[in-house]
Amino acid sequence: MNRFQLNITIFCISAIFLLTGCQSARYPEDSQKFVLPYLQKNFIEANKAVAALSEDGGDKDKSLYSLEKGSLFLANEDYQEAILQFNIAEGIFKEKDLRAMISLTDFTESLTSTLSNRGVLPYPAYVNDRLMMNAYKAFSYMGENNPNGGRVELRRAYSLQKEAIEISASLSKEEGEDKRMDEQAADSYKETIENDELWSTIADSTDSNKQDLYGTFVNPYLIFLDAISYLHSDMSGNSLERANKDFEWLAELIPNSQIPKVGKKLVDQFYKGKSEEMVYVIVESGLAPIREAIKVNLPLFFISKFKYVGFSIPKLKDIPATYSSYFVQAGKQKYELELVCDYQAVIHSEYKSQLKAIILDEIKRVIVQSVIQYSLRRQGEEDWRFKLAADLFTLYQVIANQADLRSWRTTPSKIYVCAIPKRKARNLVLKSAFNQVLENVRISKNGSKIWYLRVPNQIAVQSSVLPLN
Amino acid sequence: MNIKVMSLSLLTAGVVLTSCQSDPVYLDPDSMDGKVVTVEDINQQDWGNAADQLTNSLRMSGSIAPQKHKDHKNVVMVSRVRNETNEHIDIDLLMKKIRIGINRTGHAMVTTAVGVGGTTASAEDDASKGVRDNLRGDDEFKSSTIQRKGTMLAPDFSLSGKIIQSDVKSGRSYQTTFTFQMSLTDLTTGIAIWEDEVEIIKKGKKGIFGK
Repeated sequence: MNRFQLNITIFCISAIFLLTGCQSARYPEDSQKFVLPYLQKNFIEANKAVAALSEDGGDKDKSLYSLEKGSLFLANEDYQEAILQFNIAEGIFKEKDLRAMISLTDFTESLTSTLSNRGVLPYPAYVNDRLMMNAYKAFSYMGENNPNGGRVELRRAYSLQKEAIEISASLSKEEGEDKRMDEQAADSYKETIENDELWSTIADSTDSNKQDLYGTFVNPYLIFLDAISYLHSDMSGNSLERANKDFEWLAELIPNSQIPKVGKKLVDQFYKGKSEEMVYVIVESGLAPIREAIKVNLPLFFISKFKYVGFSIPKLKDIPATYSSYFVQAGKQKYELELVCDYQAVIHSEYKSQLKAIILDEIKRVIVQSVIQYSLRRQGEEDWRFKLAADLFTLYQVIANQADLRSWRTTPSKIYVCAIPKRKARNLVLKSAFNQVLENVRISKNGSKIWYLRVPNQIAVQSSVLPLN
Repeated sequence: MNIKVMSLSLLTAGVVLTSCQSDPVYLDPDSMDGKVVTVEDINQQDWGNAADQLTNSLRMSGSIAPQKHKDHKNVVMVSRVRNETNEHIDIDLLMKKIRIGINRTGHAMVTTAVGVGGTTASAEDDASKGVRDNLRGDDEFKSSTIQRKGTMLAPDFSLSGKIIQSDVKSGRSYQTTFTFQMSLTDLTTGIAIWEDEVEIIKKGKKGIFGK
């Protein structure tokens, strides 16, 4: 290799590292820079780390880092800044929603990801991220003493959730009709890439017991928040009916839970004009699943025209929670918190709904890159420059074979709630199942409240009291 | 040669990049012409449109015309106007226009001393109550200039309402309806003596091709 070739090689390798979206593949490790301080309740350090990562990530990761920043500001009770950050993320998601059906931006992004990987695309607007963002924005508005603003956010979430469920249902219907075709298509993919181990790994990439717990895009947490927000808004028939419908929906999703039953009782009581001030204790426990890569490298060095074919998809990995049950001591009475939403299951469900598209994208990528590699190698038999290009392209393929591992890290794994009438006690103590005191609070006099707690681990318990009306 | 080509390229790029900009212009607030319309938001012209229609309806109904008092016009208070939309909106964008409309009818005037729930705590201007509470007994002020007891006018009517949003999507089309509902309650009887609603329906379509 002469000096000129060497220079080109170095230049190309540097460019490849910059362009292949390696960053998104490093996300689980990178995000530890702010997750670790978050787990030590050091929000300032956590925010500094997110800001630094955000600068490195550029525009494509702006929405993700805004979500992380917003979540950290909310945990630190800096509500105004939290709203600001969530608005940035929301603006990016909205801009994408309003794009034309066939947009130049989408086309360019699709082409770029085909030539490299999905990690080079802007962070996708996952439905569950958007729903959780609305919940967190609602808490931020409540924290700013603006429960009406909070209700706006919960209404947005409600509309988005309904719309996503309808779209998902219509797609499932179409899928049912085209199932035969799909199965044939799936068989042909499997024939294209004959690797039983790979296909069984993909099948195991999400927990099948969890994925359909509530249905795709259904997040019972948001339904619960909508219900209590309407229950304590203006006591009009319209608001109480909305709360009633929400609790009915919740009863279908979590049939064995007391939460919808208690809610329905309150609605009936309120209908009779016997309103009551309540405290809703909400505990967001643990951390959301992270994404790990299932990477398949097939270095086919002995086949002259193909030196390498690679395939990479993300897999969800749950993070075990520190506590699996909680209760609140209110005076002499104990209130056990119930699981209102297994957020891990909600994420698994959305992941499963996207897996097919991810695999199809990967197959498209493998085919396009293999065609390029094949052409370069053929030309390379006659011209050394093409051979060099083919070798560089193979190297590029190896490096670019990355799954998109980005995900919103500072969301919980499970959400527990309970409802306590304020007349029972205003001094509340949150305890773990082992009677360990985690947090205590004195609830102020006026109005119904949410005692909002985040318990990502045993150290970083964070609590705030938010007005519901 | 190279300098010439570079200069020409830069000039062309400059022309292309700046040609998209147009000079800012003033728009007539009472006209629809040239204003930006978005489907999912209540735009400036929508507030004006809804307020005009509701004020006209209230004026035409004659509900506030019969004078209840010999020495002063009827007094209207603004009660709760609920935002049931998916947008963070400032209700005063609507209510201020309606209040101006009510004052202009010549039959009634709006109090700023009483607010939501008929309390002075939620009044738009808490100074009416504040100057009485804070300045009485303060030697720094000439006592004859301090507002006397029993001079504020209690409201005869209460204006309340709701703004509702409903969205529909079908294929590429999407439509948003904003419904502005208003009621005027006679506080003597508790009866809604005037009610009306205005609907503003906006439709948009996602482009097939675009940026």
